[in-house]
Amino acid sequence: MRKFTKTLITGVLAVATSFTAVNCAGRAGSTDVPEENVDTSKTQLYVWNYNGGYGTDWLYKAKERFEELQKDVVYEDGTTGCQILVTGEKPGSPERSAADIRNSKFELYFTEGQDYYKLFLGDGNGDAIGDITEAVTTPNQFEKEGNATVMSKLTAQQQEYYTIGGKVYGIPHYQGNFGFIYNIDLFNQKNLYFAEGYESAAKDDDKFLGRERDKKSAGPDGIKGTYDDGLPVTYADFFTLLKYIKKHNITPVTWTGKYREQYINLTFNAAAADVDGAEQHKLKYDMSGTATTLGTLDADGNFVKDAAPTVINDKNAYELARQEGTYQAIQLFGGIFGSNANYDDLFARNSSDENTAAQLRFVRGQAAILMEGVWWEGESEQANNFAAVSKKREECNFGLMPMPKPEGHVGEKNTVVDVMDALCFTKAGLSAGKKKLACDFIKFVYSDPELVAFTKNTNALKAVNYVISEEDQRDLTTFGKILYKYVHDSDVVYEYSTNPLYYNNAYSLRGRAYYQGDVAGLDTSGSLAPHQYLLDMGKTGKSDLSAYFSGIAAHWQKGWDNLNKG
Amino acid sequence: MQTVTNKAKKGKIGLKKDLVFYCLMLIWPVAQFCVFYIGVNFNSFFLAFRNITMDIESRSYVYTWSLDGIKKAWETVMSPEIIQATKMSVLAWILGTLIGLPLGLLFSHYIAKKMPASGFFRVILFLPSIISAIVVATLYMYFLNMAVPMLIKDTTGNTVLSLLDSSRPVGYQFGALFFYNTWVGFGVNVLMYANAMSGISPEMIEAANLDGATGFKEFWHISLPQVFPTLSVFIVTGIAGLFTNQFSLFTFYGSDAPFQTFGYYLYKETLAHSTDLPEFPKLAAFGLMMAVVAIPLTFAVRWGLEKLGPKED
Repeated sequence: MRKFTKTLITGVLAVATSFTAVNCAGRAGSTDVPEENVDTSKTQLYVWNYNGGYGTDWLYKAKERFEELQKDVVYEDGTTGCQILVTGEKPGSPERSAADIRNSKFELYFTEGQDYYKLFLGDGNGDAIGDITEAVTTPNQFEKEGNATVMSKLTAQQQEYYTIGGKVYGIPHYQGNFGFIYNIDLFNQKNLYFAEGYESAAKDDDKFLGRERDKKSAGPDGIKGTYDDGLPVTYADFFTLLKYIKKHNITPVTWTGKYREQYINLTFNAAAADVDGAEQHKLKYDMSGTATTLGTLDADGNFVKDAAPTVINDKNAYELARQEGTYQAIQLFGGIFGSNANYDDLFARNSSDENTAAQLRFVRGQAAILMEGVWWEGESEQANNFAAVSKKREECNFGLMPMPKPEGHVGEKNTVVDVMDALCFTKAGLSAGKKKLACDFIKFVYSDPELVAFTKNTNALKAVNYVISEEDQRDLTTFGKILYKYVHDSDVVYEYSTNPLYYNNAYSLRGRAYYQGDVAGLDTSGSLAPHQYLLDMGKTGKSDLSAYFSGIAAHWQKGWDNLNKG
Repeated sequence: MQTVTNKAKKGKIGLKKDLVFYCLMLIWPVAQFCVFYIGVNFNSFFLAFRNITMDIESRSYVYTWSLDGIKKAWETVMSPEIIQATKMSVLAWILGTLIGLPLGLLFSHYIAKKMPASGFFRVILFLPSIISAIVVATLYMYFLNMAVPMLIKDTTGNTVLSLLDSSRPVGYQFGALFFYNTWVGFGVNVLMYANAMSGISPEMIEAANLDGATGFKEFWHISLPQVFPTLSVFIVTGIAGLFTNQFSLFTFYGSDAPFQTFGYYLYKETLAHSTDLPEFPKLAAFGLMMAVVAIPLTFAVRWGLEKLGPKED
């Protein structure tokens, strides 16, 4: 009996230990080995793709079309045609380091969260990424109409950033921004839309669709019959909507507790950028130009714009912490977090609340609005969230809510901040044949038909300019259609710059970091980000929105000298 | 005579073979020590006095000698964030030493005395050290974050926030993590002390018992002095832990913990800047400053323990 007990315990412990071993293998096991057999009669190109929210299916489809198109092309002596070998694994990290690339067999990469300049410089042990100028600046033979270059599809900000010494080593891959996503089916079911002709002085309930009010308001764009009809226009409308949703016993807004730092602060940044506009928001990265939205607070805590514009340079760019966008975003998020009736306290700061769990609450209709990134649908599909409502992804109706505006900014063009840093590049030192193949494949996936195919497959956008016809838009999910329209009609800002002060301190100057505030008299220490000050303190009634705005300005002024100035 | 000579020859050959074997065995660990300890620390030392900037046009990093890293690290050390981290690190170390250590010793004594269910305790207390830290931490986190609040909500209808919720006063989160760290760290401590105690001569214990020594006296006058060398090693090496212990904060909160310790701060910042060369000098300088405090402190504690520690009667 004693021997048996010992054997049993040993067995149990062995199993327990094997869990540990499996766990380790799981982490290190993303060896990125393509599964397809190699056809030696063709030239191979090994392609690494981050299999995140947008998946890899788009790449498999593109590869099939490309291989068929190029089946008679000779890239290397002794071979005809090509074989694109794609990794289908999801590694722990969406970006690749210089060492990863040098030591890997993969030759073409589609990554995310990648700092282009740091990758370009590498780690001092040799170049990691190669020159793709040929792919980007020569006419694209894969276009159906015309032969526009890939470079011509980039914005002026992108062209300047990606061109280094006249050469190009990487180009933007896909786009992604944060915002408020709403459940259209739930909004329809509960009549959560503002009614036509609603008056701001009316009772809250009388502002929404009802028996006597059956037509939606024109929404933020002021045009009837568009996707934003009935949606809140101003911050005041937004808060009214939250109260109205709560009356239906539905959680107004939800987000992932686990990743709240990123999700809240980046949505905060999106709101700030939307108020300041693309040109003014871009100053945060360029640190050069004229700031016209700076201001201070009066005795009542109201924002008062500076009488004269301020010329911004490397020495005084901390002044941008006083932009009106920051002030207004504080009002918006202070309003959302100021009442815990607007969210579920159980999940708001819960470090076990995964992003897909928050998405599931939203898909199920337990929450009406989701604070998320626009890639969420793909993640939810992978997590089988739509099965919880017995639907397929394409049968569900969700929309990206236009960012509400503060008074005085209604009707202004929307601004979107791309936070993805998704990058396409090749490994350095490819043979001539491989390089030609890689360049051709880049040209192919950046041709208009393939850009449209990417969006139809992922319901997401590439971070370049292209147009999707009405006919093609019909193949998108409801969310995909709205996302395309919203981003297409907005100005897009990318969080990068060619200013050495910026790229040497990118971590400290990224949009989210710009809202750290030093608020005096708190029993906590250090500078606080919006999710800490507005959410944590908002709950306890300790948040002072004016003090936070002043605290952000003070933090930047104090810390500016500590930046790496070379 | 011939036999003696052959034996001597064989002995010499055996000695040579042993030497070759030991050398081969040691090459790898010594090489590792040279690269990953000496090399890394030298590199880190010099890095503290460098300034690194990116030069995109020349596709290179520009290295210059500078005290900027030291200056920035000093400003960081004096910031409220690190002052709080100092308090938390010291508190975690003191409580760990005052509570975790005596508890570990008492449990070890219990196990070494082979009291009822001592084998069971040995296995159970060592289990968190066998199972993956991530698995144990996830279980504990879900228990606090989900199981307890949902159970309370389902039974009483009230929403009670998790002990780990960042809107609670820091004391709650510190308490929850202190319990976790003590529990998880128990296994190694108990195993070491219990093994050291099991080596105590039974005759000595029997003699003490005959002299009328109680259980506590036996622990105080025999077990504790006998395991004191092991204990003092734990305490002395624990001084380094004061500066490196991240208190499982990263496991529970990622990079967004409601409070920090030195170890957590360094870990978080190093991870965030893992490909960010221009930030390395500041972090290296920060580490150097901690070493400046840790080295004399470690020697002082060792001296103190040697002077003041219990002696075997």
